[in-house]
Amino acid sequence: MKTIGDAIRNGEPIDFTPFIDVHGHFGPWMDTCVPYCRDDQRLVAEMDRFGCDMVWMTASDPGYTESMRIKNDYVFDLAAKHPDRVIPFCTLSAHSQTGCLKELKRCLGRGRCIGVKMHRYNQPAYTLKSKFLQPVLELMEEHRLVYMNHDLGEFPDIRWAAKRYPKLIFMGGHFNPALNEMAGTVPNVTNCTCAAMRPDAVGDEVKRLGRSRALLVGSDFGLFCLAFGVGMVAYAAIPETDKQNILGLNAVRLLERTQWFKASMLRCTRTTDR
Amino acid sequence: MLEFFDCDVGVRYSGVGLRPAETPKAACAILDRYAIRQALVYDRGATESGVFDHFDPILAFCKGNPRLHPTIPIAPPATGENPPPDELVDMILEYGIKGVRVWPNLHAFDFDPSSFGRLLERLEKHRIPLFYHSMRITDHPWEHRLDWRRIRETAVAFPKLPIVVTYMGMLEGRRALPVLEGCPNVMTDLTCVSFQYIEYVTEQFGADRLVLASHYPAQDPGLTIPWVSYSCISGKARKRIASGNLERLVEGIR
Repeated sequence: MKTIGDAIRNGEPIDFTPFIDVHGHFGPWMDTCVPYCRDDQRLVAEMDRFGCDMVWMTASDPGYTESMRIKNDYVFDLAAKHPDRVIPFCTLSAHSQTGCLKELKRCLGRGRCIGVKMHRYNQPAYTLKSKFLQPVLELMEEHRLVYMNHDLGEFPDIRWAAKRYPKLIFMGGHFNPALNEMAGTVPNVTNCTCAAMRPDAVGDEVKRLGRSRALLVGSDFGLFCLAFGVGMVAYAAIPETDKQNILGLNAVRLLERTQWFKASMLRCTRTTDR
Repeated sequence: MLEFFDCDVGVRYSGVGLRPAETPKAACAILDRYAIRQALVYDRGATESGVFDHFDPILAFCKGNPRLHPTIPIAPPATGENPPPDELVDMILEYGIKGVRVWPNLHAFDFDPSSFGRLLERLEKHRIPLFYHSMRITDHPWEHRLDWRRIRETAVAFPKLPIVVTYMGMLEGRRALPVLEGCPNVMTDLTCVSFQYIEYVTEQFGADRLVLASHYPAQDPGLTIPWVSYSCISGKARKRIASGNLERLVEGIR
């Protein structure tokens, strides 16, 4: 049986198990040059080379440049061009707290949307308990969406929010072993692998916790190359089933909560048994 | 399957919680896992300590192993911490040392012609590659900044000296690309992991401007190795980035 490691070592598409990168960005960047960062053809071609079925995409410079509407439109326009390959997050900003609910409704009206993404830096401080966020989280709960934050915040706040909004999935945008521990007792908390850079950090984490069901691969794709996420999973010293969970099956489980997901959307994964 | 030549592997010991390979056998096992055929290695503990005059451990580590090539750190000649430039270069050539490393932020010096000129003249004469590391001991690759102005100044002053910028930074594109354009003797590693950086640099400046630096044991080689294998460039260009460019540098020492 061909493994994820085999495919990566040979530079071949991972087309035998779902590969969904849950942490991408699309749009222009304020403080660095990212070549071809708005070239959708190159973006999708890179996904094809890796056999990446789908990317969950957020805005560039999330929440701290331009208007939320314009930044989200970059991503939702991209998703409209590549509807099964790019699933957008609605990116919100603490700079525009009174407009967050309206912007989420607007994004939901544009079509498929996996949830909301927010950041912390370059914007006013807020927590999961902040007043402006509650109607946003309520609407997300109604739609069973994913709330991803660069940093979900203080753990008591995460526990509070996870309990108050049990149908909403809370996802830490960056690798956080303490959050992974919490995910063992709080079923709607998950964590992205993004930027687990130490040698075999992902493998060590799965071995430490004895599970892989709350970890989802992410690379900051669009800002970074797709390899930055999948590489740390492919070379991890863990069983193949754990790699499959992290690389895509955990994301599929979240997608199956939506009304619009169909297995046929996984364009790179051979679908004879789907 | 591509095979790789890695220009940045720390070995022996570390005092900051990293786990470098302590023996050549362990080092080769790590390289095997990632299809890295050869590596330029350095003494991680000695580098952390700022030791510039005791190379026996790294030479012994690499001795007789065709996959492991020693490199050594340098300091401004005025400090007297390295052997004198002529003596140092003789030693490099005699013992098969394949490159020198500067760590301006870790070791607190300025890397420029004024600080290093006497030594750089001799390194340039023998085409001994110089690897520039911008990190301190525990910097995060998002947050450090490189002194591109001094890199450019040095590259222009010593145009035959191969300068390889490692840890080139994840947010450095607008500073790095003009230096690549203006200084043909400057190369970078792939630490930026920027979307389409490999493709763009290959199109604009040529595939011979990029090398692999895994930064093991600080980072997982898997972060960058697949990037080369899947890049949208010719097979020949991929091979150069994977290994050919470093082979050329090492073979170019004279």
